Amino acid sequence: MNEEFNLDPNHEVDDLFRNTLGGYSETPSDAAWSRLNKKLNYKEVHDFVTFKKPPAKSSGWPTPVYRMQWFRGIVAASVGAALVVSTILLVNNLSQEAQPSNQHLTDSNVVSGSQKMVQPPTVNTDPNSVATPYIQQLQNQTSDQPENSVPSNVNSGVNEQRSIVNNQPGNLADARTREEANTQPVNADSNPQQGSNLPDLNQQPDQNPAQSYAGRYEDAGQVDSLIAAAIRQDSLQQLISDYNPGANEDSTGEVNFYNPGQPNITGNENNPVVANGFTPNGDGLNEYFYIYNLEKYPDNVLLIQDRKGRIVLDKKNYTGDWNAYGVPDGTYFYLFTYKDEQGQKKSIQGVVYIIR
Amino acid sequence: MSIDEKLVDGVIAQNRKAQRSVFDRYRSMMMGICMRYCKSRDEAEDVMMEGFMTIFSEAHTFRRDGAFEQWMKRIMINTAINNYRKNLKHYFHSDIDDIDEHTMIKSEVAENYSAKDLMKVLQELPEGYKVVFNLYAIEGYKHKEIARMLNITVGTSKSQLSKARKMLQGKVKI
Repeated sequence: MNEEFNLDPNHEVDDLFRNTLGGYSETPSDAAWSRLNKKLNYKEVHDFVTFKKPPAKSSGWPTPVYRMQWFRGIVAASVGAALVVSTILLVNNLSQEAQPSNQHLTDSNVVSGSQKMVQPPTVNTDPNSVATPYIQQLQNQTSDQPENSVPSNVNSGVNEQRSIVNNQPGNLADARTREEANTQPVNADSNPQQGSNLPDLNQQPDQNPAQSYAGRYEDAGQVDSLIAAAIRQDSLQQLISDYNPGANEDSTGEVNFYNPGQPNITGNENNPVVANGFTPNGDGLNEYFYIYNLEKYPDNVLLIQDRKGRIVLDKKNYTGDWNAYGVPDGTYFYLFTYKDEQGQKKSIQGVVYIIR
Repeated sequence: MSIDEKLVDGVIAQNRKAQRSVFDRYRSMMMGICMRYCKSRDEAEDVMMEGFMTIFSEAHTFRRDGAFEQWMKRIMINTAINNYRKNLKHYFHSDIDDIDEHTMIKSEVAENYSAKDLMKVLQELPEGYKVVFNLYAIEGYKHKEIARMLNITVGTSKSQLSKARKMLQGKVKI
């Protein structure tokens, strides 16, 4: 064992400890075995479910591992059965879903498809034809073109279906105008202009302070810089994008028209309030885009945009004389920026309906 | 004292009764071994538990080329060493001078030291010294084997041993 320290004075301490503690023994706690037993049980189960190989069998000692082998067989069998059943169900599902796809417009699955489908009364014996009921319908639809071969019939039938969809009022621009037309109250009294107070509606564009809109804007007064205009063009973007046809900004729930001589019904004596609808049709009633208390705020800018964001009117020092000349009916958005009595810049924005 | 061959067979077969028998027969001795390598009784019991778990699960690797007892002892020591390695990061390596020497054996004659006292002294050694001293002085391993078991150099093993001896000498006043 320890040959190294023949003359080593240190061997005394070594000997002391070895002699005293070499055979040292101490009784562990009483619970030691139960703890150990529990751990051994856990390990046994763990080894079993992880299919750990059992130790070599030996001389007649029964072991729990061996006893459990029949259980392992049952677990394996049931898992296998579950797998088999689920695959069968899966295959069933898939095959059922595959059935409708046989009706696709291809010539490849003619034979198999036709054998399963109910034959329609007028069977096309052309070997190239696709004889499923769906195709038969298309053929009936396009039967007024008998000179066409079957494949092109099929194609045209499909295209016909699609074109029908397109021809419906699904065209965005058309839909919008149609929907705007629906939201306009019918104004049957479209008389030509009357009264001499009002500017002549048949005036030429260049004499009208408010310009017609054709994608470009001009101000009869001062023209702001293009950059400033561009900024203003975005001002109403949120309002425009949020706009919901049918909703309106008036708190009373109805469109607010103004007529000359009409008392101020907004209940607001100081702030500018926009009458959010006007009918510039020449009948003398609410012909102009009107703002209550406008006279108090001569230092202002009025911006009108349509639903596409195009600037319709961009006027400085608006005085209430815009009659939407050249502007079609519909929903527009205004941004009225003004300087109040204290010199603060303020603005109001909202929706305005032009209804003739 | 050797274990009955049949009992060994039972342990290898993982029979709970055989395992219980072996445990009851050797628990105190194993506990004694673990006490030498650990700082406290609780830690020693944990290590002993782990050691027996290893013994019982690896019993099938016993090659029957020696005494089963020696084989078990070797496993227990290895478990203790593993425990020491696991806890290495928790032990801070202190200087010899910092160790408080509150356990001073008062007796003049070395043979009068009780086993309990010596065990206490041994347990108070820093872990590294303790392991090396145990392996060399009590188990009887050579420095080469110790270096391999602990993954240290022979030089480290020798210096650890001498430091351990110095410390123990100081405590038992040899």
